[in-house]
Amino acid sequence: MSRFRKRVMPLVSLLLVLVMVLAVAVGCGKTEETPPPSTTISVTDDLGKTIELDKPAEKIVSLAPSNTEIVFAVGAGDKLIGRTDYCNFPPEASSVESIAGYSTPNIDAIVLLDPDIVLATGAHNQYGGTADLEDLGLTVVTLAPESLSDILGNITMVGTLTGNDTEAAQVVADMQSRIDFISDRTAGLSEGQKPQVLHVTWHDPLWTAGSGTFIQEIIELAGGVNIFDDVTGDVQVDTDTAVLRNPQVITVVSGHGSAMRTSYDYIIAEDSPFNITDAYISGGIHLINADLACRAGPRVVEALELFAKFIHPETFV
Amino acid sequence: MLPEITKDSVSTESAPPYPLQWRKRIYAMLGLVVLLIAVVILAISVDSPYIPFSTTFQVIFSKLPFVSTSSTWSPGVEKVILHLRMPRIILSGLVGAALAVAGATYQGLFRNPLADPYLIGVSQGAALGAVIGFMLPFSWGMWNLGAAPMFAFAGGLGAVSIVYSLARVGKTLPMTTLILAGVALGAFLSAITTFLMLRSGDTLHGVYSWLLGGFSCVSWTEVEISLPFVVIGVLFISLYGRSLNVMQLDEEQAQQLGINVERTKRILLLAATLITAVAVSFSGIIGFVGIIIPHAVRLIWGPDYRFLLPLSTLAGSIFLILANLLARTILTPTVIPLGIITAFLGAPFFLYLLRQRKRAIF
Repeated sequence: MSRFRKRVMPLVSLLLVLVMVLAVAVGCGKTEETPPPSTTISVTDDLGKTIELDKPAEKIVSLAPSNTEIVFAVGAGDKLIGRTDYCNFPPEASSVESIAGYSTPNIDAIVLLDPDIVLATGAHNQYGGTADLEDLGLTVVTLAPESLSDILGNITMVGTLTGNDTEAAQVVADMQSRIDFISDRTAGLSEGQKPQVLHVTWHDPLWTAGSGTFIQEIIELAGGVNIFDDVTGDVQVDTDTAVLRNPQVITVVSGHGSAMRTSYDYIIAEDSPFNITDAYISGGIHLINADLACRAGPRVVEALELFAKFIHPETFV
Repeated sequence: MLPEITKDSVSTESAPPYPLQWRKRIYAMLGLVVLLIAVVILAISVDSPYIPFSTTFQVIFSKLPFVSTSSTWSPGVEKVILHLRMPRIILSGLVGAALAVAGATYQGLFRNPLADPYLIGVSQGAALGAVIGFMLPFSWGMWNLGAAPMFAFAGGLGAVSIVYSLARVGKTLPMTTLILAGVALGAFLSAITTFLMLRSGDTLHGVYSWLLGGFSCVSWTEVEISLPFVVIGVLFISLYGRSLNVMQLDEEQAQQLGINVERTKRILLLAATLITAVAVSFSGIIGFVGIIIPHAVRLIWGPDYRFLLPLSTLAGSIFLILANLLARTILTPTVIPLGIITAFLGAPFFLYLLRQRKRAIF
């Protein structure tokens, strides 16, 4: 009996010790896991999706020039590791690796970059690109602004995602004050004081921006009336109708993605169909950089200031 | 093997004399299989962006059972190879095979060298379906796919069934009526598609790039859905090689040779349309493969459908995988629409063959 005890007791005690050590080890492991992963950053994107990050995004891929401009504006340009071929502003963006076109991004290239977040647009969601990227385990944040205030919201959101809240707040405050400066001066205008404005995105066939677009909002803020506010979105319209509605101001974007001014040259030509409009006669035809007029980024306020000058040159110099 | 040969030597008295060059054709088939494997390996590595061959092999070998290697590559590389490139290459091979075999079948059925999968309204129906799918606000939750592929598939099949019922005269299906009905309905459907695209606003980008054809983001789901259709469809059509040979004669003669012409026509039409619709629904409109590949195979190895069909399967796969690889690498990282590459490569090669062998192709 005693011999048995002598032999077995050490074994039993050893086993007990082992069990205790194990229990402690497992317990320790558990106590380390128990605190929930502290989510320091949480935002809701324009699709209503909640994005949670443990720490500010360090590696960002942008799928649109407007998103790239926002990333740089909030001071997170050094965290941008992928951009599109069209991201030409600010100039520093060109040193970032391209992941091809805006509507045709190279998915392989994006996945190889292994980004923390991908900044997409509503268009990417509509053709299924967003879902494709999410299926591959990427975090996609969608920026689909529908108004100037949405753009300001997007800038704040990107600031939060990159940990640059302060910079973003400064950018937003500056933009808001510039918008207010203009709207304060145009708010009191009567209908008769608001010039009729035609915005041309292409001349043949004639394409314009109707209601529900930034341009519509910008024209109204700048104290004008869009002659095509009775159509919705970016649409093709009839040239004769445009001429008959007699715009007093015509804004023409330079060709997309380049400095082409084909549409402008067509409209200011001697034999232009617009040569009977007030805009043509009074020299109210203006060229505007497509990059300013079409991108839902921080430079939209520059577009607004230009429109204000074109529409009310007497007020805004 | 022996009875097959005797049967044929009997029929060759009235059928076009197809010399039985078994050995040559089997070598050709084996050669194409080897080429297909080589092209697949090439395409996995030399895609845009480039991943070194060594890494590619390591990643693939590490996934084989009983092989354990330490991973020295980033998780992104593995994801790209296993979840993007492999399904994309397999799907492009399947689509190439489907379009080529469907093209060969239509050419045989219509006895018209210009027939291709798009002549009888399949593509126009599929395009309309896809555009509607893009404009709908929901996705196909069950398979985690967009609505476009399913609608394209339905559109393609729907268009052909309309054409079929329009063209049927009594119990027969005159091929001229079928083609005319197909062309007319195709034009009508294209008009609707263009109109919808004009009204689609923001979704235009997606619709447009779908129409141009390509495999930008393919997951295993697409492969899982299309693989059974294409494999079964192609094998099934290949069984009808002899019937198609005989049907190149007068239909009456074919009837006399014991072939139920009307039934065979219906079955082959359905099978070829089915695999075309599957191909189109996942890859968009990729022109030229259905015409170029069967004719190239004919020019090189002869018009015997028993070989034309399997050889077209292999050649179609190889061609489309290579074309897709070029589309993705020429302007890296930009991906060129695949349809541009297929026409750009296919047309000159075809013209070269045409000049080389000036005898009648068909």
